[in-house]
Amino acid sequence: MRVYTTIGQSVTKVDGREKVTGRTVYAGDEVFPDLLYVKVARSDRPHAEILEIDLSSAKNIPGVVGVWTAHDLPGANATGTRIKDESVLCSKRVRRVGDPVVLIAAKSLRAANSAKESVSIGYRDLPAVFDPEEALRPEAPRIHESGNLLFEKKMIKGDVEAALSKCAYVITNTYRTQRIEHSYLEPEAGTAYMDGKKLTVKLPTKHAHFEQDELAKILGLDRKDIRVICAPIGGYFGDKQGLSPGYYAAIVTRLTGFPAQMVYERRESFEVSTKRHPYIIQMTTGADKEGHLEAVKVDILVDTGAYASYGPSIIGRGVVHAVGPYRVKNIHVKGRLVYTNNPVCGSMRGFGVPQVAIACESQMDLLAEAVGKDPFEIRRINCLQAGEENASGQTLKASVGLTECLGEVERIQESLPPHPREIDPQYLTGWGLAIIYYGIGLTGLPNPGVAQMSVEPGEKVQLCVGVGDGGQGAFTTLLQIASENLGLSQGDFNLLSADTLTTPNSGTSTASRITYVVGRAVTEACHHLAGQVGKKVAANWGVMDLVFEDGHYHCGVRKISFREAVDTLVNEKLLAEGIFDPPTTPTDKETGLGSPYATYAFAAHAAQVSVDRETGQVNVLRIIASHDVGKMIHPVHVYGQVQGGAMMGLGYGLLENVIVKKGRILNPGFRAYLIPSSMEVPEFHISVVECPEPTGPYGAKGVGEPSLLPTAPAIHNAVARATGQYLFDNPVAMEDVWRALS
Amino acid sequence: MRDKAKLKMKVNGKTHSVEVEPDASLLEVLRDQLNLRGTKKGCEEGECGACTVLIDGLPVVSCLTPALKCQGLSVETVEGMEDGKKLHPLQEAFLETGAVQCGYCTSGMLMSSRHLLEKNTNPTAEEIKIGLSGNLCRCTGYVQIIEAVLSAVKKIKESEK
Ligand code: FES
Ligand code: FES
Repeated sequence: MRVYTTIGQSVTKVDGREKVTGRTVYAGDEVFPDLLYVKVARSDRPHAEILEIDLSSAKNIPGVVGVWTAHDLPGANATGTRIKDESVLCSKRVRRVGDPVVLIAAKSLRAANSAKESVSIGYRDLPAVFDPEEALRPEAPRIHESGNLLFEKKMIKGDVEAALSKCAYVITNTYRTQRIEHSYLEPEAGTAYMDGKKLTVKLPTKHAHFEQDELAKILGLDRKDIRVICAPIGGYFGDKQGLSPGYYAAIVTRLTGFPAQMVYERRESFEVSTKRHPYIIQMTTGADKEGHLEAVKVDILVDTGAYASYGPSIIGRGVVHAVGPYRVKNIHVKGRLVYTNNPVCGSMRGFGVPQVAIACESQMDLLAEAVGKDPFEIRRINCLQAGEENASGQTLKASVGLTECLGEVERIQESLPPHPREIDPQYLTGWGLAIIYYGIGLTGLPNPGVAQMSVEPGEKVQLCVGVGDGGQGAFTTLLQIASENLGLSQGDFNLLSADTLTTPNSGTSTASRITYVVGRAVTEACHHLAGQVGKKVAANWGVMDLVFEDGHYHCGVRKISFREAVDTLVNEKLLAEGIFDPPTTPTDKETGLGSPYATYAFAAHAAQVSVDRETGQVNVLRIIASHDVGKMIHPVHVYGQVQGGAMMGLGYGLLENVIVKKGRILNPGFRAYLIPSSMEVPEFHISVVECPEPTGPYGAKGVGEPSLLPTAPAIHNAVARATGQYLFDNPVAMEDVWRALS
Repeated sequence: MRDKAKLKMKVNGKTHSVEVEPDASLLEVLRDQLNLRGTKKGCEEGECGACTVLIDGLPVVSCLTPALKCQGLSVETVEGMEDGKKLHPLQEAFLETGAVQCGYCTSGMLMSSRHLLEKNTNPTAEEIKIGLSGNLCRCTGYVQIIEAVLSAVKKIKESEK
């Protein structure tokens, strides 16, 4: 096996020292003289026509600098990630509680808040629709001109009906999942200011270059007159892109010339930010008498809320993953995305897959029971192996470590001593298992990662990437890849990240793609840079064939390190660029088949739960997690993703639920919306499997989203084992468990 | 009529005299008037713990603490944890074990952990969980934070040898 100097080592997190000393400047920590504080007055109606807006008293509040409506906007009043269906400020109509209507800037936060309170908006309520099934009826109020069916996506292979009619076992159930909130600890924030002629915006974002394009339209400016800098990200989990405080701060700076800052209140963040989509999933699973899957039929109905956001892409990914990591010849999946007057749903860690994983893995356990096989066995005989075809008809050539993950989980589970609750008469206990796969990178789309490097004598090597670090350790990982390639260490680099002025567009920080896609681009850039320096060395030595290995140029017995070569033989600045676009094909419009991802990550989790016989209270006692990540670049960070993801999965399966009544969120804060605290932490057992991905940097794939996918399904299956009853709604609710027990 | 109140308190060992709005929270004063922005605002509802600081050694959520309540008291924030350039053993341990991801909960976690170790020099993992239960972290799943506190205990013991 190859020995690496930094790959596989848990080196110091490059931005860690700043964070533990409180020196990291997040977007809401920026300080400016003459800073204006920005607020937005919002709709309190789910669907209404705006009749009048009275700004007179707001304008008279001392310290208020400006109060603006849609008519005052400097540029386009339409925005959105996939479809431009959202207004920056609504002028005629609001489609959800929280729609923005009036923009306010003041010299103090207090004045801005008072002005917000005294804005008065007159409405005429319109009929609203809050249920996706109702929204599809012809008589339902139209939320957008195009109609309420926003998007439909199918995947069709073989003949599902014919196959089902021949199956020994056919299992059909309907699953419902809830909305959940990202709950990053840093509320959305942004600060804007003029830097000479350039309007500069600092905001936490997963894609600075997207924000620059979008802001150019909204501000009515040329792209080159706007600079977007990604501030340190206080957690994003798929969110933090598009219309947000940084946009409003930028508009205020554009209108006044003054620096401006906006930070969402927690309540506002809950109301306005996107949620994970609630799904209604009807799934039919058919198998032969040994339990081999023959056919799977899935119908998914998704409430996307009032605007599209990332919805179409999410349902696209959900459909592709609906069948799970199994070998199935006959498939029919249909996903429909529907507008309602509910809170907007969008991109969240797992991107449309956590929902289907619950349905899929419950079905597998039900099948196991019907056939009389154990949960490991039913999965082992059906799960994908290298060289086999997945649901979308793509042959998985390499890096398929699912059977190994299953084996690891089984081995660990068998090795554990009984948990004390197993013999406590107050509790029922049970183990549940779930497996998943997850395509790395955007679904069937080009999504190149770009990295640029430069070097000159006596200077640090500069590495420029267009992505930020969400806390997962992206910067550290990318520097490890660069270090390994050039035989250097972290301190030899100067990293520039996600800044539209100084870094290339490396695509969005989504789809667990940074390590795999951008990391590989860094490797490419390193090769080009090493090649250029190598030419200088070769010329200087007067040789033709030079080998670059372990950070050194070799020719016969002569040897010089990359750094020495740069310092002594290079007399100019050398530049290099690396690009990696994972090989994919778009999925077929009719059948949805194709090769949407260049590589897949695999995982298996087992959860052991206890159920209180009296109350139905479920506690997770242990989680065993095994992940095929291709190659672990930084073990501590990989473990951090697995633990953080699994805890988020635990919250999804047991605790979290954004409660919405007539379009209004009833629990917009951490008091009534519960995310896991330290008290919920179970005993963890983690095993990492490394099935190298040939196209990945040092064999790496991704782990950010796969980490959370199997946890909630494993909890469902564990509760079913403990109580003898399956629950088809997520989260597992205490009252449902209680009913199941009585 | 006076519209600002005079507040004198010690912050990280240094005495400050400031004029504050009578209803200002300690968090506002620390961040906006004393420019100590290491203490974070996560909810302003006393629910997340990101704003945790110590007042006379006891942890409080500074977002719900009226600044005037700190009259004559001593406040400790993350900015006071280093000893010159040297990190506090807890900071070192957080850095090494992966207890810091996005970092937004970190200052609050560090303050709660500090209080925990002052009360109990040898906590078990279970006691650490209880001690940190008022501080939310969405990134780490807490496991590496608990490990960090355990590792800091070792570091402190070693340095006392
Ligand atoms: S900001 Fe004080 S508890 Fe959240
Ligand atoms: S590290 Fe991000 S919230 Fe704790």
